[in-house]
Amino acid sequence: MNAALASAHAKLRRSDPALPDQLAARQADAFDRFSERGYPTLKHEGWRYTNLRPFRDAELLPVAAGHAAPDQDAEDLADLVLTLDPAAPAVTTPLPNGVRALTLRDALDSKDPILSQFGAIAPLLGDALVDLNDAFALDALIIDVTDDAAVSTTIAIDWRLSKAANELASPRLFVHMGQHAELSLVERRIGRGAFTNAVTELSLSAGSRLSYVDLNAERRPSRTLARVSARIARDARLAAYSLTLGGQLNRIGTYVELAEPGAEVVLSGTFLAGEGEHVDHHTAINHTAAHTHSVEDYRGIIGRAGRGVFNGKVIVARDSQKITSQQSNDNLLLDEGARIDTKPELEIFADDVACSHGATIGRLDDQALFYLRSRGLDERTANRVLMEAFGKKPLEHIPERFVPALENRMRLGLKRLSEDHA
Amino acid sequence: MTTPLLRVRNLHAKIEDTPILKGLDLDVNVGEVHAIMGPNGSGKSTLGAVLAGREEYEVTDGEVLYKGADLLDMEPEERAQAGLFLAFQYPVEIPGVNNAYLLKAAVNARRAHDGLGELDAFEFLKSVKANMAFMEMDESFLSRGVNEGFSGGEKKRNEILQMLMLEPTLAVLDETDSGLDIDALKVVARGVNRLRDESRAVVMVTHYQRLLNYIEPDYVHVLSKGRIVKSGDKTLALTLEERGYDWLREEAVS
Repeated sequence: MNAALASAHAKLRRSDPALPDQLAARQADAFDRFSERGYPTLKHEGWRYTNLRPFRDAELLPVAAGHAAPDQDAEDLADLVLTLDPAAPAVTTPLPNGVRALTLRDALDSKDPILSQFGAIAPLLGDALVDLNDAFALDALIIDVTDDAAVSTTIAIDWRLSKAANELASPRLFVHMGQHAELSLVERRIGRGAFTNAVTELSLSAGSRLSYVDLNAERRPSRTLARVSARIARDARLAAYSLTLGGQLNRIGTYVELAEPGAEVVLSGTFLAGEGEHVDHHTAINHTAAHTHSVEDYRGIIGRAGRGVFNGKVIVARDSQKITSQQSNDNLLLDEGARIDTKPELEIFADDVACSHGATIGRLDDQALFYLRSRGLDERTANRVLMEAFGKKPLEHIPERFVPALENRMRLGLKRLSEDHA
Repeated sequence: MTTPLLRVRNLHAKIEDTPILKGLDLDVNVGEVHAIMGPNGSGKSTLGAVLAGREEYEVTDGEVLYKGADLLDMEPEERAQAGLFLAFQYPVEIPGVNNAYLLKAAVNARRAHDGLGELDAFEFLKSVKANMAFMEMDESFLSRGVNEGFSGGEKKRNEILQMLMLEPTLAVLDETDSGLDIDALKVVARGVNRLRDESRAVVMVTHYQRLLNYIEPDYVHVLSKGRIVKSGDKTLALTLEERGYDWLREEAVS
């Protein structure tokens, strides 16, 4: 076990006298579990291509994951940016009707009933990184949308990450969607976080609808582990999109349980990796009930000496009949030195199912490139236009509200990626 | 004596190791429409590809001057910006790149080359809508991907639409008539005729005389085995229609 982590954990309690007992106990249990299991290694299932040595080798110093003040940058993405006062963590932003936001500490103080659900989803198919988050998340943000609330305000949650070399931030978010509730939410990780180990839980009650955008706009030298876990009840639907613009080590694990008939999920994303960057998307969709539906659509654009990984696992339990599941992962390699490892993994135990999957790896189409140039677009612009066209296709799965803002960010990311090649 | 808009001299080009053009000469002046005809494999499409700057074709000898400058030394986009337009025989589909975007980017690239500012959105839309109406194209094409899911005829109309928007000095049409029904052919021809004036020239590469009923050429050239073996006025096309190409081969040999 990492001695620095152990000593950091021992100090947690002393450094934060206000730490509620229950939270301290949670942290202690989680730290014990993590100590026992340790970081996943290349030998663990799902970790063959992503080496956590930078985490293991660093003398990590856990710090609070702060919330950024609203910045102009978010305006195009969301109507409202949720902020916490870092000095006395409390949600200070006025919220639309039907939405409650509170910190874990608040919830513990007031013995809020939402606590019975907090932390119940992430451990499903979980690895020790959830324990690591539990051990060091100094607080958590809880968003609760009441039954039947159709929230038209798009909400952003910005995590401001540390810049110091060895700091570890552990953002933690729990979203509860009441029955037939509707919400669009953006979670962003901002700044050059040194090390981040984020956990997000999404709990969708019957008939609810959640659009969730996960934005990792960092590049080198950030190292980010993010886990998004969702449980989807009867007739509820999650549409999730993840945009990742790079990062020295960026692993996004998305795990979904389609728990009751009629539950639906669409997971989509675009990821870029340039020189010295490693972006890994692992998804697992567990169809534990009949009549559940999943769609996955991920696209990767990998530049010089960049590395991408996609693994899409779909599990259909024996009695889960009448399932549909489509998965596609298309990748564009911009250079000889670019690399992608892509793998569908279907574990289907029922017989009345329609599951499809496909993966492609290609280069920019020379014919299309020539066509654009023959119309006067210079080579660099023609390249960029084709990359954008390729990368933005998964955006068709999320509300139009998000599309222009995400396209802009993708455009900037691609510009940087092509500058690597200049 | 003015310099021709396009001067091709002794052009030799090959693809991989196969020589296709073997000493082609051609002069095109502004205000002229030239038709280049010839049997399959004579090098018609290669001429268009070399003029547009396709990299697969290697020019092994000869020269091409456009507005007095060495065309072969220019990148494909520089040629386009300087007013050369190639209408493709098989326009490529580019999903995700919207037609309106491409038209606007293309027009603005050409304007930037001429030292003009970008066309404002309103002017652009006005002009594109007028041209689309002229080409009998539905405005919904604007928001679709470039040629994405277009029929053969729609793709050709789209090529001519781009041409009308770009107002090229030299338009090269590579078998734009092939695969078109008569109604589409008329629309395409109308588009080309609209562009025809004293400041521009058109080179039409075609397999069929039919197109020339709608776009009357000033000159007709017959290409065979990579060279122009006969040139004449529009009546040459009619002779070709009657007699085919074989008599020319014999004439060329004798």
